[in-house]
Amino acid sequence: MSVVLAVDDTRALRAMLADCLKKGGHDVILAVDGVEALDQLRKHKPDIVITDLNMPRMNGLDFIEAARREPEGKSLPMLLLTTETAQSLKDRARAVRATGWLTKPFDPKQILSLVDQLA
Amino acid sequence: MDDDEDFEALFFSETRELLDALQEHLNLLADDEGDSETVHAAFRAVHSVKGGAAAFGFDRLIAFAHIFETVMDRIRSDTLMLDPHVAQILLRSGDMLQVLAENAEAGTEDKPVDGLQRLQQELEVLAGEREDGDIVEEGAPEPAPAEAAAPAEPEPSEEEDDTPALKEIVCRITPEEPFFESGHDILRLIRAAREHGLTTIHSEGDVPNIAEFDPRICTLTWELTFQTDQTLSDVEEFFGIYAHTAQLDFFQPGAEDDIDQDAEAQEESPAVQETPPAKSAQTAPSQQEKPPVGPAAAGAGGTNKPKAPAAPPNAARGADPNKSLRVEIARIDRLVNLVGEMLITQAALAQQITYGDEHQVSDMAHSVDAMSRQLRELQESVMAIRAQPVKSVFRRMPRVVRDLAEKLGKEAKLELEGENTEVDATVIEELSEPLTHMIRNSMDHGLEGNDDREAAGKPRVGRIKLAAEHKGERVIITIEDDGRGVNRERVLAKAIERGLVSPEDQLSPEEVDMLIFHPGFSTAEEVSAVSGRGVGMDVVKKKIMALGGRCSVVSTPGKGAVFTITLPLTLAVMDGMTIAVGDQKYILPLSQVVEALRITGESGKRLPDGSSLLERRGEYLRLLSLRSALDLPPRDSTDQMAIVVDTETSGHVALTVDELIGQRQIVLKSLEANFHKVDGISGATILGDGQVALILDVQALVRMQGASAPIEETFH
Amino acid sequence: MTFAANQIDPTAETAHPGSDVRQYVTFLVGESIYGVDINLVREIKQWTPTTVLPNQPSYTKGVLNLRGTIVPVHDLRARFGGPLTEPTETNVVVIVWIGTKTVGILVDAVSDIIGVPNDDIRQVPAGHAMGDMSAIGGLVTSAAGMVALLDLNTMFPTQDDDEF
Repeated sequence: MSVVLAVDDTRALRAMLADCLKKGGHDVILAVDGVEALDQLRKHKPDIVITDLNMPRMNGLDFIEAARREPEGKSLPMLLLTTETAQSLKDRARAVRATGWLTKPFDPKQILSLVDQLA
Repeated sequence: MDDDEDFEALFFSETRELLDALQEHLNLLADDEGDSETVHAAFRAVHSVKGGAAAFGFDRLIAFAHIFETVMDRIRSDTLMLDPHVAQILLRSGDMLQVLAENAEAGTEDKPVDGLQRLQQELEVLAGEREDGDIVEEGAPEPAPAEAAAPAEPEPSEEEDDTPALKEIVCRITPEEPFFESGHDILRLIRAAREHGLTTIHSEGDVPNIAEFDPRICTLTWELTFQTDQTLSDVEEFFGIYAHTAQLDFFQPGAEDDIDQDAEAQEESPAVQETPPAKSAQTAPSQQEKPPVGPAAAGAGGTNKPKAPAAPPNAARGADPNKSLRVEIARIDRLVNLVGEMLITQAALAQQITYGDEHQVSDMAHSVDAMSRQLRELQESVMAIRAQPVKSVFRRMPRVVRDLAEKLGKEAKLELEGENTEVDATVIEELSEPLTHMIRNSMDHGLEGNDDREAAGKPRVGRIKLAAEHKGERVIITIEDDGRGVNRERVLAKAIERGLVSPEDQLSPEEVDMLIFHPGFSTAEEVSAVSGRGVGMDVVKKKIMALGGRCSVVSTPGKGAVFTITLPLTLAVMDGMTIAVGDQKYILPLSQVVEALRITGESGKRLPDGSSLLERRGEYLRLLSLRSALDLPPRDSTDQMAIVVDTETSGHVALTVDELIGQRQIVLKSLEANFHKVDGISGATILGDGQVALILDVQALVRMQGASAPIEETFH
Repeated sequence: MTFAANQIDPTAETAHPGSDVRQYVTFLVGESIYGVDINLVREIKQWTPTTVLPNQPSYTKGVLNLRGTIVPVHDLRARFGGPLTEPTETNVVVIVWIGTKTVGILVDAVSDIIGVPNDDIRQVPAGHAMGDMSAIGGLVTSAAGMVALLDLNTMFPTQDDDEF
């Protein structure tokens, strides 16, 4: 069982992610954007982060970049889950040290096995 | 309810909010009042809708949102100029997204949508994906969808191997520089890989000299050998997450050709990139059919129990699209009822005081005062739960205007004001239809054509303003246009033709204007496609009156017209006038009461057929005995009161009552809950003494009594 | 009102081992005894004046306020073709569930609660002369005499489109 921080500005996707993760037996912390996610990261020290890319206030890439500077985020697996496919964004994700890139729609089974695999 | 449907309902309610916001942003952009943040926000809204749609597999919605998003992205990055032409396409795209979302919600995603193909192509032109002039006319075969549009069905890269026999798969993984900094851990990888049938690990390369050791750089290549019943693609999927930060090479020593798919190759092929989630969803059932052998079964951990599919079938959904309250309505209603009962208790207490002991009276009065105050607060807070901004209805109107502008060939601009004015959710739901009607009316009959406007020295583009504001316990909605105003000559001619008024009647201009609300009256000379079905403002009035509201119009010829709707803030509580007939008490909706008169010997008249008239300031009103309408035993009496009410169907009518008791706020109770509908009665309430009082449905009572009585009009 | 002591046959259950025993609330209208399944009885209220409804059958006495909900009251005597009851404070309204609706039945007095084995319920003989008997679901004999078990759904249909 892991503590998963799920970040998405879309309520429905947040709820689906949370539901999927809870059914997999994980504890879920939610955040609506990067700013809130950073806060949650410091507070709850999750085992793994799954974040959306396009979000208001602070997007997923900026969040990962910032989180990597935090002691809690230094070696934390942080996955981007997005509909974006642009190579430039993927390069940016690599540069900010995102653990991996997942495309929406997410497959609950894949999410769960990735949490088991990485966290 | 199924979980997926729950999420879907959530998605749709959120999508509505997103699209509302999008509409707002696009309107700002179209008016050239937006900034880069507006563009960003609009982009994000489209993007979020697309993301959600992808989760549920609404392909059309995804495809359209995708191209829309691409265009927004180009505007965001200044690749595309946001000129009025583009802004118009964006506005229409916002509308289209709404239509597609509505279809998806209604379970009719595949229903043909007018203009979808054309609009999609226009967007493709803006996105630079299509030549201008290469727009295929509607009805022509739809071109192959844009590649990233819908997630393509993945081609299984391997034939499913039914034999549970284990095969050998080798993966060489060479972590690249960001690998460890990206939160990966080779030990964790190996531990997880073990559950997929990892048998041997081989490392190649030199561990560097300790002085040069950089913990961030892994100079080793790991060769992991699996003995597994999984297919190559399953193993590739397991490693997929590392492709981002490592070189991957796969071999299948037993197979004829070694497969060499490195990370770069994968990244460059969007088809492959898009597939993993879809693919695994596809292969999941066949995996489950396989006997769970050894490590493979353990590897899946708790995850191979059947999961709800990501894309549920497009079944019809029962959710009411307008119910976006997060609170169960039944609970709220219970609260409202509770408050109602408390109001009754308070009234009872007040009654006790009237007959109580003198000493107790001041104490009781004091506590009753306090109780009244608390109750009012409680009531307000309870109502606030149900209160919603009129925004949700108002936001649908720009689309109505744009659609009509196109159909009528008139340019018009809709201004919205006071969208945050809050009204009870039940009222909001009922408001959409009459408002749409009134906007149509303004577009169709109010605004002149653009050329006529210019000739009249007006701005070419017509203006309609829709506004809402609170006034006391009511909400006022105005629809104002700068068109030609009510055409009084035509209205009057029509009213005379229809026999609504006689040519001799001397009507004031205002009275003529009000004729448009008269039942059966429509200024549309032919049933136009716009006003449709030949319905007019009388339908609007009927609806508004049913909500306990009133409507009126003030017209200035040549300058425009202002329609005003006054509505109660809620349908659960209303202002009523308590009257008595015999020993029974009844409630008349205050919104319909015009005035109360005492009937004197001279004011009541009788027609030869026995029906009664009441003279009021030189005019005659039909006089209706509530006693006989309500089937109560007759009584001879001369000193009765008459309450003049405004009926929707027969103008002003006077009702005779024995006594006028007073005005009070009443809590509506249903008769139907335990009984059934009773003609002439719209509901009931409970008075301070615990007695039930019926709320009169004035229209129905007049109609019921109207069969034998002459129709008397009130436009005198 | 007076209650006869223990009208429930104490041997009822042992005498009919294979049949269900149901409890019925019985009440009096004139000389007749009627019974309603106790599970359908919500409460019993003393008569209070009702608010009359226009244009309803004469046996519908109007509506009363049952803690904030509006409940119709029907006169059982009039429903079975008898004269209208002129209720006084001694009259009683039996509040019953009919489907999802709550309905009041005006009777003279509540009599007892009796246990009735299903096997003891007899059919109403066909061709019975006295008024509308379709609302009687069965007959049973108690210590106090014959009890007519009411079929509430037939007697007071609660569907909105039903006219009665």
